[in-house]
Amino acid sequence: MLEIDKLCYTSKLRYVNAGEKCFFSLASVILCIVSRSVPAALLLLIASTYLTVRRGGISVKRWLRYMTLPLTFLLLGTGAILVNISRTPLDAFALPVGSLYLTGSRAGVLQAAQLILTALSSVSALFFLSFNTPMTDILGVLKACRLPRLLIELMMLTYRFIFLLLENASAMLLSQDARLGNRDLRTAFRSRGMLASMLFIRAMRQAGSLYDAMEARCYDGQIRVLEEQRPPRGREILSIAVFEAVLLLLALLPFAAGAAGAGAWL
Amino acid sequence: MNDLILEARHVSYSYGSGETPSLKDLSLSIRRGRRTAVMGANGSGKSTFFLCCNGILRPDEGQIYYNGQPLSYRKKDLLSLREKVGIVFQDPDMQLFCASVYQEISFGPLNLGLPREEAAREVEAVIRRLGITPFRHRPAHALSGGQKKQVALADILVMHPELLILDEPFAALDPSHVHIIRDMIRDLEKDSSPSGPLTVVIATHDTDFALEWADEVILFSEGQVLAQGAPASVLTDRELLARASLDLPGVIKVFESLQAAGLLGADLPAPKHLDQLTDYIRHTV
Repeated sequence: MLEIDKLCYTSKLRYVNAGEKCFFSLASVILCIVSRSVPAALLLLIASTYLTVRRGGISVKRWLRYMTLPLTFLLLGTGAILVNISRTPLDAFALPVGSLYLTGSRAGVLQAAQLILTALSSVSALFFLSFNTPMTDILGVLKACRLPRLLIELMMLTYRFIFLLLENASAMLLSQDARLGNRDLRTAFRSRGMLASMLFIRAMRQAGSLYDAMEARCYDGQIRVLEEQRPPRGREILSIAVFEAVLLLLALLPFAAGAAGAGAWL
Repeated sequence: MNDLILEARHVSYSYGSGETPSLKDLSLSIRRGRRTAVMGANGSGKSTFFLCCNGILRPDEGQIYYNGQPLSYRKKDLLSLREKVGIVFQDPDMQLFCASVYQEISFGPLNLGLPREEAAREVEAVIRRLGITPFRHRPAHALSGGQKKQVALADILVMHPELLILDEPFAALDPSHVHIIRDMIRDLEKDSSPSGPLTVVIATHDTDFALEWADEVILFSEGQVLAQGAPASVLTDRELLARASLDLPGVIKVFESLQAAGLLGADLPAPKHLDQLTDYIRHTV
């Protein structure tokens, strides 16, 4: 998670308008999931990879490493769809085990492939968003979408304080290690317990101080801040519109083909 | 207009009943346009006093006067007081609440009710002025301690306070950032708010800095004012400084030992900084 946070601040696409990036990834994900179209999923997978690796400047190795994580889950998860236990062998493959078969149908194989592809392409689009867009920019988009103020303020503070909490925790852990606080399981348990309670106390104290500091700057219960505007560019909007149109076309293709086929049959 | 910008009369405060009071019958005054150094050991009540200055803490006893008026603790009055009194906190991590530097600095001006365009202009101006441009696009958690301090200072300066309080601005900074912050503080003297010159109050343990910079020194000890006066008299008094757990300034130590050795005239006034001492030596030799 911390690595992703670092990546998005160095991405070459960081200063592209965040609304565009959010729209691109969310619209594409919705189209792919709703249609389950294989060509659309393939196209999206290629597009997010191209955008993140070539345009965003994130290394191929890193991209593949992040993509293998969901892929592993998907492969394990789709096993259930792929493999049946049955007395009669199905048409794709069949492995005899005693009097039963571990077997799968062609339709099942296709369905599993479709599922994996759809899910993987959706994940890639979300990775594109999170690798190239800092959290603060995403919050700006949510604000523009009129999400409740309270929610946004909470997310903003949480995001900032995750890092302070981690900093505090790692400093304490280091100092415990330096004093042999984690030499065996027993001491480790004790140390972790103390760490947790100290972190809690510090967080409470820090929250108090922060509130004082905000009040000192005339805080009146509403966090108002300026967003740094990155105006959307015409060319980018056009590219995204064309891409989504192609995606929509690919998504509708099976229905169109079905309708045409039905027409010919009639 | 009143010569005193802030005055405390017999102020006492404790963080909870039964706790040892942090401020005990404390009285002091801060003059408009004068550079005031507030000095004293950790836990001597400096930070508590500062929080009383803008009404975040309300004294249990006694009264604080701002521009001759006793502080009112109604919400509206507190907000208008906090527009005029700015505090830069010691630990920037306790002050910065935004991950984005730009958003962080824009918080104050928007709270002052500035229109967005004007607030944006102010934020840009302070970013340029304090040299924040090179790291303005970095998230707060990727800034160094010194950079966070610069942002914390910008947070407050952008609001153009009349009274600027800096709580240990040099704590935990490397020498190069100490220089940057010192230069910024010197630069502040050119500032003036509509109601007159900017009044700067700095809490510090650095007696050399206080001797050179301040017009007035206030020594705190155990929640009380031990002494208030000109740096040349307060900061050369070994006994007073020892009671406040402070060191004699290095310049003064050298100056006194040179006098004791008969190398410098006994009638010379105490030097304010190293350059002045160097001048003395150059003229004598």
